[in-house]
Amino acid sequence: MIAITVSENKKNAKIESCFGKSEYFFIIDIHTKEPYFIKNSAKGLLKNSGKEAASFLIKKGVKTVISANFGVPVKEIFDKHKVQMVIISSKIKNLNDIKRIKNK
Amino acid sequence: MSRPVKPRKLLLPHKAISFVPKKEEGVCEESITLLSEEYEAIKLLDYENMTHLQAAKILNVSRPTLTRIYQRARNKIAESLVEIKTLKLEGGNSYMIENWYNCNVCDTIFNIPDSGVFNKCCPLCLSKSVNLFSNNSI
Repeated sequence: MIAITVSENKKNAKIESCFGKSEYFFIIDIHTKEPYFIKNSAKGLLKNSGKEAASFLIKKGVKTVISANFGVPVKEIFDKHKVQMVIISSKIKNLNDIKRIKNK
Repeated sequence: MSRPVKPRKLLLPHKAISFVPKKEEGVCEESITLLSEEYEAIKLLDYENMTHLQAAKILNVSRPTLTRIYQRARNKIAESLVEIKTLKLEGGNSYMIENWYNCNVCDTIFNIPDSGVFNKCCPLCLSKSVNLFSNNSI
């Protein structure tokens, strides 16, 4: 499973620059090939929103996370659970810019 | 002769970038270079709100050294703001604790948590044109 941090639940949603503060996650299930959005329930938290969001995605079975920025506590959790982190370039602004999604 | 400076440890990579002030006339020619360890100190202390001790452990330096790096970074940012100079993020005496890879097609940076399954492919664009992200590109 792949998760991408996005600002809204639309196909051309902007990629969020901060993992923990992301509004939604765009999930791609590699087996079913069915993409869908999940709301980030940890977004409103004053503290540890990144950690909570990371634990939530791990429970969902996510193995690759795509975002513009990750914090150190998030990296520690992902390293522990062998989750791959992908830091996108500033050229990629929204979901439509990602070739892999375009091909779906 | 003074002791050589110990390289600082970085957990996450970041790209070389410049912050150019918008002037009413002409281009901003003067610039200041913010080193990778100075950028990391600002990120850990001011963005992630860590204590000096926590940040010092991550960078693998003593607490007083971290404070000096942080102070230098703040001085550079202040100089850039007040004297309207370009702030360039590049260079530094640091190393990454794990291998990160850079895609030559989409410019994405990624790690491989389980190196046994690495198939040399960008997780974003699926390009096979990837190389090791080095400190030289920071």
